[in-house]
Amino acid sequence: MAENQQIHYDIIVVGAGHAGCEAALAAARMGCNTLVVTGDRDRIAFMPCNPSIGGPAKGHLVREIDALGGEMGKNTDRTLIQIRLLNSSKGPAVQALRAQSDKHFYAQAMRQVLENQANLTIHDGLVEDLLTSETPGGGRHVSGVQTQAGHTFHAQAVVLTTGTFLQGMLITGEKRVGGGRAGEAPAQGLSHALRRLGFRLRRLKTGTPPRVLAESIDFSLTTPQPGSPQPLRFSFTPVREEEIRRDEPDPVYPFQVNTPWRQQMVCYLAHTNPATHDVIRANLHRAPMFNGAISGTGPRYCPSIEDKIVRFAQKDSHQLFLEPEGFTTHEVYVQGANTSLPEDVQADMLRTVPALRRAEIVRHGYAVEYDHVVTDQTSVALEAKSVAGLFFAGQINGTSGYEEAAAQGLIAGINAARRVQGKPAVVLGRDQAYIGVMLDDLVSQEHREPYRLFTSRAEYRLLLRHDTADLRLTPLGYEIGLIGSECYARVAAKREQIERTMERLRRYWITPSPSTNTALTAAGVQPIRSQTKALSLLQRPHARYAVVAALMDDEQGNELDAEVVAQIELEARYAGYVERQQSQVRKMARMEAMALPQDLDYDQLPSLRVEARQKLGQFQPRTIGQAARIAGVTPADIAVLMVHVHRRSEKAAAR
Amino acid sequence: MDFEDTIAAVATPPGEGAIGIVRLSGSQSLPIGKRCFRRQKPGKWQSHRAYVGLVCDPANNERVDQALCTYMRRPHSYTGEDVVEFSCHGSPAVLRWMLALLVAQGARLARPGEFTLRAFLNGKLDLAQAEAVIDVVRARSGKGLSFALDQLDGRLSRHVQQLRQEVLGLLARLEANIDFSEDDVPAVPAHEVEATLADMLSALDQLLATAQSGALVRDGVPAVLVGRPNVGKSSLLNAFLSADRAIVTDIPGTTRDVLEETVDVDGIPLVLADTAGIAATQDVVEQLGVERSRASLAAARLIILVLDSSMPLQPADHDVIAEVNSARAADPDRRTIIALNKADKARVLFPNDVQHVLDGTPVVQTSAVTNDGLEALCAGISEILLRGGLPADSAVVTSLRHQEVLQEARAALMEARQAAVDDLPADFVCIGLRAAVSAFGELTGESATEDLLDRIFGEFCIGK
Repeated sequence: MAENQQIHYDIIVVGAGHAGCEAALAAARMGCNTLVVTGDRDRIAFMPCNPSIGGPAKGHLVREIDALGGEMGKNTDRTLIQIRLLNSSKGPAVQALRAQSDKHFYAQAMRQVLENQANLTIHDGLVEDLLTSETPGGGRHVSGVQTQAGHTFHAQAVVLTTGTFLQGMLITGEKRVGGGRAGEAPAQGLSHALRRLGFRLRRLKTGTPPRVLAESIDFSLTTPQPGSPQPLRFSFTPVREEEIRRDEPDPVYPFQVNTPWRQQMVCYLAHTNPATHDVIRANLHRAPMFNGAISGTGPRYCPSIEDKIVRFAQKDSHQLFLEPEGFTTHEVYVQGANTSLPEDVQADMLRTVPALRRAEIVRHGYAVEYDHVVTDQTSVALEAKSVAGLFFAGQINGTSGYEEAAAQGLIAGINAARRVQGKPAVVLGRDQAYIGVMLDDLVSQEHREPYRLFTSRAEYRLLLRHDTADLRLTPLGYEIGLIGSECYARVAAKREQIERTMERLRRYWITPSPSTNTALTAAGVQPIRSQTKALSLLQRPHARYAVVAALMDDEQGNELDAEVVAQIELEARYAGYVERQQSQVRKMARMEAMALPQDLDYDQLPSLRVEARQKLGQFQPRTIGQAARIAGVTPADIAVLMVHVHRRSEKAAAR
Repeated sequence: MDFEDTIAAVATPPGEGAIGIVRLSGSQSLPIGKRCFRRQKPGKWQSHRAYVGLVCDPANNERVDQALCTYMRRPHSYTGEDVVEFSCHGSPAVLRWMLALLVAQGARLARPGEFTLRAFLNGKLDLAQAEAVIDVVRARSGKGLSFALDQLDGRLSRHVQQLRQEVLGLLARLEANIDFSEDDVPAVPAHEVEATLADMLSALDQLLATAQSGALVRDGVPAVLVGRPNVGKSSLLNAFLSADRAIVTDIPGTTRDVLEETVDVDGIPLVLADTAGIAATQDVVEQLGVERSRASLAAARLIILVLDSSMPLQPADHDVIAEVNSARAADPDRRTIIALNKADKARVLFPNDVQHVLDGTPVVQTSAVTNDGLEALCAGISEILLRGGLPADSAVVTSLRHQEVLQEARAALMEARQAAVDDLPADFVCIGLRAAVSAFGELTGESATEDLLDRIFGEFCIGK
């Protein structure tokens, strides 16, 4: 770093993990002069946990990030070693992509993107303090940051993406070391700075499993799990060939399966057994999770192996996925064996598994405890309610997961940039995106554990399919300025094609004739007896677009893109269900549109029940719709609120 | 709170008035209203015109009542939405029937104060009236139920909770398999989904079948005091009333479906006909003749036979007893109790002497003068009503609101089953199950998502 480095920026992003990268890229791409401050630029977009991206709901997030102009999907496509489509038989809305990435490629490629991004500067340092100033109205506004090394940077907006670094504490057995990730110092000062500004912080906990040396594993005693034989990608825009990071899998990894469309690697499945569980049980008194050494709340969906053994004592076997961390590294991630047991116990435990009999641990598993900012202090735009211009994204908001972090980073970056540019914040609805579901959940609910997104959190799951993220969000991405006109035009054309074809199917009548019915029968579709609409024909079991289109002999028998055909078939087949969810959305629309004043003093509304008053005051919902989703607020309370809001607006109009 | 819905409620004040008005408001008011109304002179519907005709159940053409029907096109109506009003005869039973009909046709029961709320939000009320809206909403939603009904509701809600848990259990298994597809969460075979759903549906149907007897308890049990003149019927009635038992029952869920003068007997609303009716029956045997007496007895579910313990049974007593016995024979469900009144005087008749006159009927000694025995009479009445008709641990659907929500849950479960039968992917089975869980949740006040996640994490070892 040059000593004469500039100290004034539009936006400062603290941290360069998955949230920080998206925030910084979005801000810079929207034209803001952006500074990223990170403890170690070699750890940009680092994956401290498993090398996997995607899965149900998370894969949806990655698609949405991509559709809005974020980087995660593209970077995964550049660096994946395996990709699969999950839930392919469980319904179109719950299908999702999951990839294994080459950890090192992923970080390198993302760093390259950041380094080549105009308007973006990377500074190595640990932020220790926040600078704020009083605003004329008596509020507070963020004005910059100060690093441990004593550098001061000024900006109009600051995005904090501190991950697990806030007062981070790494715990393995009896050992407790301050740190954000293994080998990295924690951020101590920033927690104090936030407390000084009046923020309430809470402690959370997460953990990671041991990594094992590949050559110490007997892969012949595992079940190989290959990647998809069909081409798959996260990004709606394919990454260029030359961007793809390729390599040969190291020969230490056997049983590779050839997938001609792309070089992939297999993962390996092994299982624990009663002997494993005995070792764990015998050492529970040394487990920080159980002897009181850990106070933070861990996630139920990502329990430590000791937690699984205790809570599901009747299960005598658990899955262990052995995941290579890259094409050439010999480090293998033992997914399913999260633990903070002492190091000697970790080795003993793994060695009870036949495939791991001679396992050598490269890095031990550990639990990490860290501070996060309680999210009732944050707006749905991810801005602190009490300090203007201060944004939070990722684990600092009590979430877990790379994808959740990246999605928040993108939104925080967008909204920081829009604040600097004097534009209103972008808020996504629950009916628009999983991102909207997540942000609404974050700011309207109490959270007892690190928050992870699940498809079951979305009430309009059918409207949020991963294959429609571009149709749903790319126009918005274009409007925000993160999507180029070429990409926008492509999505607009796709939408137009779908709509035109659907309209045509709705209007076109197919007349029964021997040739028609022969074609139908050959395709496994019930023959027709009377004139039938092309659309209702397409809705019959086994009907495919190609079959119906062949029966429509008008001049528009055009060739449609496979993606468009897939959309049309899904739209036709599940029309009834989709229409129902859309009508539910319409029903909610009026409540979502009724804004609640942000300065409303709920204690002055005696007609509200005490619990409702307290909850509404705590969360300060933005709309009546959000208020209705807060636990403890009843329909009667909502009626009272509606009357009040209406009365206020009439009073205001009368003035 | 949902403004797209068409809502329905009784709009006339509580009580048994001469005329009752049932009001519909919302975009579907006219289509729903039309389906339930057979106009005397069919033709085009004009706004702000009243039409004479019959309210009929479109399902079976059964005639409910003669009524006057008025359509008011938005925005020129009380709520500012399309409104249809039926003016019919004020009997609570008729009004209740009509509401059920409208709900079956797609209306939703209005929540407390919802008409007024809509009116206000559509700019039909001024600011002062807005304050009143809040009071209405508060007063009605805060209103407690009587003890026995609370108990019934408690039983119902336990049953609903249990059903909800079962649906939630199935949903959790399906959802866990979706959200944690790489964990070893077993898939649920389609035939198991179908079988589980069939069980749930039959449990729900059983519950819904109780709605009839539940309505009786909720609306009040028609009862009559009979006895020859001067046995103390009116004193007994006055004792009931003066003991602060005269109540106005506001029926939760249905906003105005109310019985005006009802006597609270340990929480069961006892409709002692109406005061005028009781006064008339006082001398029923002598003055109004056998016909009127029979009609009065025929309407009652509970007959309280009053005898005078200070003198032996008179011929007139035997006449009344004969009438009561024939009323019992006509309907074995009819309950009876004997009040051996004037216990404050020197007694000639004792319970053993009269037990045989109405076979198997409990006898309670009372004094309308000292109020002695009144509590025992009440206890006896509630016991014979609840024990015979309603087994102690059975749940009963007591309100139209409950019925509506359970029907909604039923439709959702049917859909889930259809999705399973049609071999649709698991997601579509989940859609129906989820709708059922939230319908049940409206009764039990629980939210779906968190409970679902609790179930998933509680039952499956997640965390690959």
